[in-house]
Amino acid sequence: MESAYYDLKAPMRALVLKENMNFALIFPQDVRKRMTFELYFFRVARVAPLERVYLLPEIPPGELRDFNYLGEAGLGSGDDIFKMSEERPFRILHFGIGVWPKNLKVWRQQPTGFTMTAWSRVVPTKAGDPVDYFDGHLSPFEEPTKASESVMWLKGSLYLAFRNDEPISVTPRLRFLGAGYDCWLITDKAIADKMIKGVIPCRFVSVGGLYEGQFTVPDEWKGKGFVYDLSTVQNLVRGG
Amino acid sequence: MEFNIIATVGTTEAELRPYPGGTTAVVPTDKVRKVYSMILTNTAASANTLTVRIYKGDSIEASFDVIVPATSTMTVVSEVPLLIVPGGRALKAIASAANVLLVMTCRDE
Repeated sequence: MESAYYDLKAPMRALVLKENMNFALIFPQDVRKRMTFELYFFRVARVAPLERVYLLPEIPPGELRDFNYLGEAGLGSGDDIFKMSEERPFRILHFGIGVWPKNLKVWRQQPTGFTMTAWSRVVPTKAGDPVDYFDGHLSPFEEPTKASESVMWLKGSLYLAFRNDEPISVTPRLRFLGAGYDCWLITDKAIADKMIKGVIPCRFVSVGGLYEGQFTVPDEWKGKGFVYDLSTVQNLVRGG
Repeated sequence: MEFNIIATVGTTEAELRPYPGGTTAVVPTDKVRKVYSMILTNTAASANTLTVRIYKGDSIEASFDVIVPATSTMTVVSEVPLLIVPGGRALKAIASAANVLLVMTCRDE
């Protein structure tokens, strides 16, 4: 699985975790020069397939639909389809987003207000930028890929923006494919450290791209994440 | 994705725009437009000539004629493209006399 993990076109169905696997969500704390991150470690207790096809309103050629939530009643209307139950603070969704048609570009914000990026730009990326999108070539409707890999948790948020680069009006379709997990939150620092060192296998997931912003987690997680900076990691790898 | 161009072409030059919703006949600059099939109908009692023109800006870069017999329908289908229009060019057509009804199946790549 590890080699596939680095393939942007790896099918999402091959990347979902199974019971008793570990993973960590990586949130930024300081990404300017200190490079400090807060990690929450989980062990997957239960897994169930996740799938949903979401229809967008018709978009004329060349037109942009700015960031908005995916509502049950349409784009930006009704309940957010990713709204999660307060009673399920340890439920995590892990999915890819398949795109139809091929030339529909999709930009993501996670959390809302922070555009997912890997580029280093002085001006924050926005919908319609020539960078930081994925489309139906990279993550096809039939086979969502790692390029669109996303996670969602209670109090997480995900906004999407779209541009139709087909020559005709289209009614785009998105396919969310992956799995939902019931998880145990790992609160033992010694175990977390072993995952950082690589002694215990763990899948690490950078949440929301390389933005620098705020994030919100469930109350049940608070105070149970672990903060790592370079010196801590060096010390651990050294055997500390 | 594949799409159609549907037009009624008369003696005034018509832009051949993608259907549905196409707002321009100009091929995106980062694509080529490949035409895989064409249906032409001439309902007039005499033969008609359809001239297909490829514009680069305001200049006609290339053109070709298709003669459609009286009161007939012609269908041309091919696995390889009949016509490849480079990016930035516009596809237009004009008929010599009465209307010619035109349907094309295309793909931008």
